[in-house]
Amino acid sequence: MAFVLEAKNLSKNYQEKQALKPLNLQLQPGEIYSLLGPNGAGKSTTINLFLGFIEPTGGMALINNLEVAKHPVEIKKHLAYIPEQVVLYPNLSGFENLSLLSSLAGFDYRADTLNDFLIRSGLPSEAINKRTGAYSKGMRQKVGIAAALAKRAKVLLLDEPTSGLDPKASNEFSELLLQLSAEGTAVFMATHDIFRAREVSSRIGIMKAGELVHELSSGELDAYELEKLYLNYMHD
Amino acid sequence: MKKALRTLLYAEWLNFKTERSLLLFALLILMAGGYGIYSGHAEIQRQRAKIEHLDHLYQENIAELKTKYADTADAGDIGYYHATFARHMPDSWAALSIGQRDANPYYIKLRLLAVHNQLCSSENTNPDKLATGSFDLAFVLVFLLPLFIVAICFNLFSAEKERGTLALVLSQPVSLSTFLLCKLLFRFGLVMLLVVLLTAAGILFTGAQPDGRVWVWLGATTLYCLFWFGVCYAVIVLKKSSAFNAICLLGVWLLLTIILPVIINVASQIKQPVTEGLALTLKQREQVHAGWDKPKDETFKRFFAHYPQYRNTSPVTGRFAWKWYFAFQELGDRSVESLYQTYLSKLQSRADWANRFSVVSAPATFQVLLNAVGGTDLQAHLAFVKSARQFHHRLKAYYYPFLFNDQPFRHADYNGEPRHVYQAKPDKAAISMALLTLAISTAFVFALAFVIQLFTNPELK
Repeated sequence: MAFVLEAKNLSKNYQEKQALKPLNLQLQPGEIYSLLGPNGAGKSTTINLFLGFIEPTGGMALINNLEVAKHPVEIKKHLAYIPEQVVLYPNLSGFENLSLLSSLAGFDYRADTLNDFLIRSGLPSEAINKRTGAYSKGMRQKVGIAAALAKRAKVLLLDEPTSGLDPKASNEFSELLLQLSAEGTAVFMATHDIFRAREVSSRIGIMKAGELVHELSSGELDAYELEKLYLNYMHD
Repeated sequence: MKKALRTLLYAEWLNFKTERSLLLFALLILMAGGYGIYSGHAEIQRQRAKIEHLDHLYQENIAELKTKYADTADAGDIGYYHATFARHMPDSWAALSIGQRDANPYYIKLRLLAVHNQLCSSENTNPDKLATGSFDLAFVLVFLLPLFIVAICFNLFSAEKERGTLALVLSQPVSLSTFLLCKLLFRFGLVMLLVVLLTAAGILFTGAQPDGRVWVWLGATTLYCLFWFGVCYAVIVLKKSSAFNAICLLGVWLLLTIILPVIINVASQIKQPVTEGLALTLKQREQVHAGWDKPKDETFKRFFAHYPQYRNTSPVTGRFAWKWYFAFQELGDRSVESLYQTYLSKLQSRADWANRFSVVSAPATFQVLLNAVGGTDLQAHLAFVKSARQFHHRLKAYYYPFLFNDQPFRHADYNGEPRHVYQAKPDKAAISMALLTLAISTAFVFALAFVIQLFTNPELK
């Protein structure tokens, strides 16, 4: 089966520091991959390499079989990105922000379709036409999710998506990820949330000092064992 | 690409119309421009009214002389006491760019006496007022518009990065260059809208002739705005913080609009000193006053060498005769002729020197260009002075036959006296040169920006 996200010996150095040691990774459609690791482990660097925001020192990142460094604009048609802090244009409403992002992605949705995306992502209907400057972090996150839904992307990149969300919102988010996965979207998520990662992922990678030190299927260990394994690596 | 452009431009519009500080700034520029137009128009109207009032003074002076002197007056009395005027009528575009019209005299009171002192004398003006310059539309365009451009562009990239919206937008299939281009295009459109509105209002309010200069004015302003957008772009692509960009761009504004023009001005005065103005005034004064003590024969001999047609005039036998008086006035003028020509050419050289070096300051070049369009630059003033001097020659040509042929000057002869009006004109050569310089400066600043962009880390994180 073709891979929708792939890293081939992908590495990144900042002067003398190796931020990402050669990484090899493949994701199939519908797969959810969680990357666990402490701050500075190289999780966000990996995501930024797939987004084309930084250039690799070695190897290559591929999205839908296109090399990111060579097709920096084209690959973005196939991926959606939700950062840890979704920041929207504060003077525009959630609806206007979504309209802008989906138009940039090349879609011309009708107003009711855009509203449906926002409602499906869990944004209260009364908030849709309010300025996002007054939104909570969770509400902004939901507009980000709606933008990802509207983009019908093959790959969803998430950087600490549940950080700062309350348990209910976090749970809703997990359900949405599973739903997207069932629809064939591959999800690549950097997270600290071991419990959530185990709950939704098909595969989990543990990263330390820029290196993928362990990879496992989520069914191999329960949450307690996974946490123990993770902490063992961190204490080494 | 087209769709992305449209979407981003629309988003910029949505953001702009909710950004009160920017709306307020745009409104302030419009108000400043409106006041500039009003103030420039008021100044030029005042000058026009004063020039028109000269006719009244002229007629009043003739009426007085007709009362004082009989119908068969000595032309010498009339030549001495009768004041006429050389008038520098402003061009219809002068109100939009007053230039040097507030610093240089726009009319000169002339009598038949030696001309050079008269050409150099003018009414006193408050130097403090002159130092601040005029508040006209050109001032708003040259000095304030760049500040507006800086204010709307300095954080064009950095604010998106600092706020965090950049990552979200650039995770869409849009390149950073398209994103920046759209932002610059929107702002450029906004600035040009203000420029067109102000220019149209200026033309309508001041009654400027809607000739080819409309396009020159708009074209030059477009180039000037592009220059400042290029400067902003060169700083933006360094991808530094908003604070760095703001300080850097304000520094560039200060350097280009204030510091460099002052340095060029001071340097031109040191490099091209014009000392002949005072020297010729003193020399002419000495020559004229010495005329009283020189033998009359000697004076007439020198005078007739220039005017042989009056060689057979009746000799002066008494202590005083007007023709003798005007003969040594004439000789006073002739004694400083070469000094006067040097004075004019040095003034011109100084202006040329300053204009040549103003290439390093686009605002100075732009100001030179707008003054040239309005016919309010140094060239226009020098052309007026030259024309006033020719007028004085015509006056002499009219009065000398009365004087030297001992003809009585009759009341009806006032009607035959030459009159003078010099109509200011746009300085086409200066316009072409300044347009070329401005185009080169703009191209240079964009080339510099692209080089900076080439050597700046393309990474966004």
